[in-house]
Amino acid sequence: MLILGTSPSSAQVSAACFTPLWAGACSAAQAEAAVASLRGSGLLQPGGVATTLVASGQQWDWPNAWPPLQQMLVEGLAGCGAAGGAVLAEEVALCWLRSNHRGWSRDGVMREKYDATRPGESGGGGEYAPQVCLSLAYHNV
Amino acid sequence: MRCPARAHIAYAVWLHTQDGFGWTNGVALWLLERYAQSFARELREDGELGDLANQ
Repeated sequence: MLILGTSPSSAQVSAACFTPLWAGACSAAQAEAAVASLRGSGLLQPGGVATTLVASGQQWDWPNAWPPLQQMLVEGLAGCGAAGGAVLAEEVALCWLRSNHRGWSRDGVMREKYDATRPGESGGGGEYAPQVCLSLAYHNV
Repeated sequence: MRCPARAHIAYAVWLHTQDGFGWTNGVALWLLERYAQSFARELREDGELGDLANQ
């Protein structure tokens, strides 16, 4: 069981560090510090926000970027009210969409994860082959 | 007015029902709801709209 406030903190930089923005668990000062910290973290890459800075070869680490984390970060940044939050939210959103779009335009698939450093390229690592949506179907809305 | 970028990715609505990776599609659509115009502008500037540029 994790007991917040008493368990030791990890020194690793992780995208998960910024999910309190999404949860609305930050004061105004904390939100402002978090926005600045994310911008300077090295996690923000051309293809979205990487999970961590640790190149372990595991799928939960650098340079992989996962959809749910992008969504939580964008929503958190956009709604936190901190200076620069909305701007950074849009940057993350556009980086992620660019990667999705570039990969799909070339390969005809959406991927479960992407390489944050190379927009459109699949992420990797883990115990299984990276998963994709195996359809070339095109639906206009 | 249709947004080409939105149309380009929105095939995911259908894919969402096809397998377990609806989260990529769902997040893309969620983001496009909010940033479609700026994303379309970026694609246009980058020349990445391809055949959809004239839609």
